[in-house]
Amino acid sequence: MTGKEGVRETMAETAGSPVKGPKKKGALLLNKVKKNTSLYILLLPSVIILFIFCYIPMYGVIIAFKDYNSFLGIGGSPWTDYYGFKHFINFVTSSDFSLIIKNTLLISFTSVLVNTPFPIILALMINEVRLKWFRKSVQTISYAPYFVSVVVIVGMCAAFTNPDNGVFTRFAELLGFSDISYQLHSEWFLPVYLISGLWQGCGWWAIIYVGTLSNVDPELHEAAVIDGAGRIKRIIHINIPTIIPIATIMLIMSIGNLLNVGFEKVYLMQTDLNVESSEIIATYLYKQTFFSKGMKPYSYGAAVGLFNTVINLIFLFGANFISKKAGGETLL
Amino acid sequence: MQKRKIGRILTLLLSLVMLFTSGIAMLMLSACGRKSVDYDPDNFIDVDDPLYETGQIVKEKITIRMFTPKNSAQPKWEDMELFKWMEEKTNIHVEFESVLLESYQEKRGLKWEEKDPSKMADAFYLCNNPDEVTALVASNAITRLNDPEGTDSYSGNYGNLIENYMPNYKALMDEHPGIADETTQLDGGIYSLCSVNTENTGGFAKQYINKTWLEKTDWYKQNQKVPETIEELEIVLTEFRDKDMNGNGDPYDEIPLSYYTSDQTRNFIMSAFGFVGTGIEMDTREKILQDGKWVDNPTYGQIVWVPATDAYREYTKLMRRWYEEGLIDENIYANDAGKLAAKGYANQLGCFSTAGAWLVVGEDLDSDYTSIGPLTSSVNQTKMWYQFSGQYNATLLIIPQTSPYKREIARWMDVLYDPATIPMQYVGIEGEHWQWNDREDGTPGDGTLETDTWHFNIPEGMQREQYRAQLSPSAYTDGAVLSSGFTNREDDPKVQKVAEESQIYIPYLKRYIPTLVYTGDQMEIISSIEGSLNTIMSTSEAYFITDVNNSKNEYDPENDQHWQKFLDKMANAGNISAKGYAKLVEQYQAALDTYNQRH
Repeated sequence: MTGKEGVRETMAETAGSPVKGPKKKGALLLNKVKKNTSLYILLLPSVIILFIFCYIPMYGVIIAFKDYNSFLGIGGSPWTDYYGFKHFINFVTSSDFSLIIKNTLLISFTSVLVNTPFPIILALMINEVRLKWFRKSVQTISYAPYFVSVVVIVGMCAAFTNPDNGVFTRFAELLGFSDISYQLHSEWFLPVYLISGLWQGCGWWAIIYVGTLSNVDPELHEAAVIDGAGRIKRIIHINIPTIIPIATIMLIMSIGNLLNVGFEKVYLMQTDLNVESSEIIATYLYKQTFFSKGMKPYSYGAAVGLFNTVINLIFLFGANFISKKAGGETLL
Repeated sequence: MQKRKIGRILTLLLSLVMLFTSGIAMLMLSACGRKSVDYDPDNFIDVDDPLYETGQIVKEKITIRMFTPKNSAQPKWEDMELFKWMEEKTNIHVEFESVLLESYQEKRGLKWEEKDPSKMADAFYLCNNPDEVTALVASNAITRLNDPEGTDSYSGNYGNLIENYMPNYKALMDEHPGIADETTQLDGGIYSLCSVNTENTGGFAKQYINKTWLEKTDWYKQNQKVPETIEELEIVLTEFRDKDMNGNGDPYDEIPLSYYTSDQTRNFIMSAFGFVGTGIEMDTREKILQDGKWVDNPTYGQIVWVPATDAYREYTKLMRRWYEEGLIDENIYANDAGKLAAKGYANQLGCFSTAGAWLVVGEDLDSDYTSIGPLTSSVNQTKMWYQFSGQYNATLLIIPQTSPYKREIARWMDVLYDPATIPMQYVGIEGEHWQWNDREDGTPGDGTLETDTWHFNIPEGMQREQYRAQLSPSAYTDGAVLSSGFTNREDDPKVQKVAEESQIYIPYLKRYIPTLVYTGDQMEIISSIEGSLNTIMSTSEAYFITDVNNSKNEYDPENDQHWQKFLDKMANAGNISAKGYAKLVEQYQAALDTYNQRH
């Protein structure tokens, strides 16, 4: 038997051939390993690395249930009150909790809402451009900002919306807004955050869609043209259906990251006057952990981080479940 | 068939190679942490060694690692003249792990997680916050410097480090009992070294007012003095606002009072109302106003949470009014040091806070400004001024238990406490970087006379502080171990001016609270509450001052309901284990009571 056939067979088995019993299962696995030894060896390094760098460190998460003291070590630190859940209870009952959760959810939901459709629209538009050099340059220019550092982006935001002499402040005045400084007005924090984020990432996120669109079978388009479909019709009935599976996967993945709002940008944009709309889990965590007096309360930080991860996991499975029910693409 | 076999062998080889390389990578990663510390106890030159008198500390050159903060304007610490000279004298090379101040707290926290003794710092130089030191002492993580039984596995019984190896520091401690007060922990141990400022050098933030503008005001023409109360200042600032003070034809471009949130203008205004800060503070107002009469302050000497006091409410009312009337820069919350300086160079500023006026307005306008002293107000008669650091600061240096070089560091630090090195820590080596000026009668000066002055040889084209940063860490990081009457005798008129300007503050300097020692439980409660409280305070204050249109409709200090809401919010800050400012005050008060019993 050759290796190639073996692969095919393995795939067929994993795809759901009935397993006949526990005893058989083990034998089957051994058989499979025997057949595809080299493939399994190829896989081994990644499994080992994943295990060492992703699974072993997870052991450290237990400091969330302990009063961690670095001199006693993870094992030696005492468990906390409330059956180890003191830090979680402290976080959930904290007077800042509702504000932080509200801001985190608001920022991430609006980010998903804004950042999902626009790259698709951009990709569809780029795809329709016939001049090759023009298409290439639009694409390059639109994803170039992605490589600009966050610090620079925030500096630009601050300069452009500066109440004294910001460029956008002047524009906004023409439109009837008095002052759009996100540093001074908490209500402008979110718009500035979203728009600058979209400007920076839109071209980059569009790449995957542009790539998908270039794989559309030209025969489909030719057939549609013969049937008398115009450009808009072809976009709606050919291009968009091609993108939807990828878009669903992207959406599910971004929902899995809902509470992971990027820390750096928010932290850099934060001022006393916009804390009300810019305090999120990550900035709270950072300030509580590293700016506290005395020894740093890593346990509390770990508890907040774990809380964050668990909620993310729930969102991820939830989104996946809904997508499955709706008959769409799923991750698992 | 043959081809397939070769293919199979190739895949197998490839996978083995991958496995092998990942294995090597992992080995390398783990091997990094396996070095043990080599320490030769006989390399140290002890007191009975003939070489001791030369000042050399070790026979063969060694390297010691110190963890330090670094200002971005500083060069590499190893390149500073002071440390080059130290290396030559002591035969110890110090490798500084300097972390930029912006990320210092974070990196420092992580450094303590370092489990590998060969990578752990041998000493933490500067920024050893007393609260952290207390926690480290409780974990037995740092070396007791005055332990007669001091022992470790490297050099055996080294005994009392201060007694045995630090004669200069010991002499200083005898001369200044305050050092022991500041550094002694509850168990009687001394774990950190103290920096000493025997004379105030005026390096703290002062409030400046434009004297040229002031002289043009009607108020000055009548009174012929710098404002002394907050009400007088208001009159002056109003005139600044209304007239074309800088004479450029535009009466609207003058900014009477400007600041940015982290500078000390807020402390300046607040101190007119009886507190130097807006957080936890010891009440030192002698009298307070009650029903229109001045009575003895019942909370004198006790801890208060300032934002919950009436004084703070008065302060927010005043700031709001000033903001509304345009006496304060309308962009205070978008300001930073650079923007402030841009306005200063354009001659638009009436009043601001900094350590020396030229830092904000440039050398040309420097002479226009003069310092304005601590103010009083209709609700407070006690003058006070925020003191950033005291005469003694127990923050200079700590030695982790893991370091084998305890004796070496003790002797190395003692060199810095030698009175002869005071000038060197400020401006480098005598004769090379600075020298004494000749006296009026033509004889060479040597510093023995009160009137002797010295000159700092700043190379052409160099900024003063920029040059000083190359000589010693005392520029930018406040790193001088000792400064004294020496600094004020520089012949630079700017230094003289700053020294004169600081005189009006020195009798009134006050710290928020003395250096207190907290128990673990107190610390835990404090960290549960204080972070949230500070956020509430700074956010609310920003709205109290700037939300003059009441767009939030809950931040008007004149409105009793709004104020009550603010107090309620602060009373609920924290979590289920501990909440409210009253609880916070209790912890500090308990620590203060312990402190008072000991003194």
